[in-house]
Amino acid sequence: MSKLYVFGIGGTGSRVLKSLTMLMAAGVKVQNAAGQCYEIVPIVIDPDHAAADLTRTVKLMRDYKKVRSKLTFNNASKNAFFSNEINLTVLSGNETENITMSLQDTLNTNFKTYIGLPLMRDEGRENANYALASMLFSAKNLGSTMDVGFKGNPNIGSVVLNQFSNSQEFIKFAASFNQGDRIFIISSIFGGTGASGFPLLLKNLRAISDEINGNRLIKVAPIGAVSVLPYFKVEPAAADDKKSQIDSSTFISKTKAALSYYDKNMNEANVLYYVGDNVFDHYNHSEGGAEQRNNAHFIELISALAIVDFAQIQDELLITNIDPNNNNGVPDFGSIKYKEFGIRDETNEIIFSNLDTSTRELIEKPMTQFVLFCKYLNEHIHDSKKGGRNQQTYAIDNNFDDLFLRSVFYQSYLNGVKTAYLEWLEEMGDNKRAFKPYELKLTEKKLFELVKGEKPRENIFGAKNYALFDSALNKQKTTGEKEQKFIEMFYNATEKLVTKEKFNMR
Amino acid sequence: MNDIFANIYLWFEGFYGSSLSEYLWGYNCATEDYSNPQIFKQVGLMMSGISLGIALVYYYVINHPEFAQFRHWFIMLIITAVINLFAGWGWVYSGFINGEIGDCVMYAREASGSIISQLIYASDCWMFGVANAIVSIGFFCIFSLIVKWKSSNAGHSPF
Repeated sequence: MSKLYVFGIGGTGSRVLKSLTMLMAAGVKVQNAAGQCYEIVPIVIDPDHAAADLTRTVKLMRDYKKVRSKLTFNNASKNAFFSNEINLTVLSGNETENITMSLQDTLNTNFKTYIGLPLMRDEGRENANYALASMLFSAKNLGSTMDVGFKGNPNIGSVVLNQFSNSQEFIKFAASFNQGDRIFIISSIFGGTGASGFPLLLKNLRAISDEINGNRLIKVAPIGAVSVLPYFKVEPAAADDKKSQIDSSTFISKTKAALSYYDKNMNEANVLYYVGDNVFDHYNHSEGGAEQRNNAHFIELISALAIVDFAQIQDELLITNIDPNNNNGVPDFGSIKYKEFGIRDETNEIIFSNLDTSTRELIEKPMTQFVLFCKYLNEHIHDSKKGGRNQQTYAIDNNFDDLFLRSVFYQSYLNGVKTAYLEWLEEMGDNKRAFKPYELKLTEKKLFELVKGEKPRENIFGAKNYALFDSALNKQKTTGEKEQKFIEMFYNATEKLVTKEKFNMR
Repeated sequence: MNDIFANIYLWFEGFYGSSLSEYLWGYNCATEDYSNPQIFKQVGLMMSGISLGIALVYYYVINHPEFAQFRHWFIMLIITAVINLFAGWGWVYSGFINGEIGDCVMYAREASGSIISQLIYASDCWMFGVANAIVSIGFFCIFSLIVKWKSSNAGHSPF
């Protein structure tokens, strides 16, 4: 199985990785043009290891991986939930899960110390280097600590992040890279970490040292990248917070500066995706750490779809050559593609019918199947489990009883993904611009009215709501381990519900 | 084979009395043999038809995930019993009021022909209905076990 290495830089990188994981859990396949799924290798570059956005993503991916480890995918199984393998051990080179690229000397130190400013002296007097550094970085920059990221300062990030190509994780990544693998980079253009990390990472990949094992394959690897333009603002810092360096009024000017730089210097990626929005929500002011917990946003979902799109591009369109002048990888002239994303209707609350047909066909069916699955687990499983008040045939036949519902697989991992998925949908629905394709708070008696803009098929005499769901489950016959049967039954049943019984999704 | 239903109903002869039983066996007063049609068999076939029909309706027509627990099956069992109570009573009672029951099993008479006592009352018809209902409970249970397996939603009902 070929691998798709997805580098998520900064907070936006983590959140897009989360969206990608949600889509994969729902059954959106990240696959090549021949229909073969990629193994996803997430790699996060973010000095802010405590950021809530990062920790939430890591937990979700771990839960996803644990759920998937119990599943088998072959011709006999139709299940598409959790199709893509996620590899969390490439960076460690052993069984330890690690998806973050470590940055040396960024903890408990300020930027001034990091660059050795106090040492830039000759015979006790500040020298020319000192003067240059003082010119490039403000006093606020120099005094800034880096354990919560670069706080919107790409000039700091471009210095500190330049070290990661020497890290053990980068060497392990390079060594694991094989023919047929691809790379995708996620970054925001308006902050600190992403804006500075993306050009540096791209440069380090294309000009990777010849001493690093696997270097040649990486130089000519197909590389795609999404650069996320401003899509939110940050509340101004409190009046008494003099230290804060996050100021969203600079997002646009920073974006312009970065785009100008990209225009002249970024010719090393095969495909570049630009996404952004002109409708903004204001997030709580936070410089980073556990408080940086931004709500999920439609833009992040779209950015994740860029990865799906990139994976499907044929190899012939992503050819990269070695430049004889500098031994770096350079995409074939004319093969660099620039892509943008649009929606069909200008609206502040997006539903599926506002999306273009191709986007809708890609996500509507799997997302609806998975949301039905999650709602069932949330609202109905304890009624229909074996021994429940309304125990169902499928539950009795397969021993889906209290013991199963208390198992680690169900209680920790599947429950973890389910809770995160519903939370993710709610967050996107509460954001601006909102992506709110589902009415999640409807009563059980209106279960199938949850898809906004879609009228469910009526059947006066047949079973309704969760009874219809149960009926679809009761008709499923699957084989394998209990976990495999559980997931597959729900996939098959929800597919029947959304394609035949209640909707006509394709 | 012909007498299967008769033998089953005979377990409950104490309910409805031996005289009505004679009628149901098909006793012919004129020929003093059992040459009349055997009512046991007719009622039995009707009872088993009703029981099977209700079982099929429960497992394959209703076949509803919210109506698939033991309590729901039990409701169908009660419905089967009640229908058969009235069906059994109705069948025999129509014979009773239409004078289809032979005089020799209906009355005990003196040699002169005067009636000593009536041997079959309307209440006996009700008691036969009760017997029919009880027998139908057994049949519904058996039919349930036979037909339930292919029911997608109620395959585990009653157990």
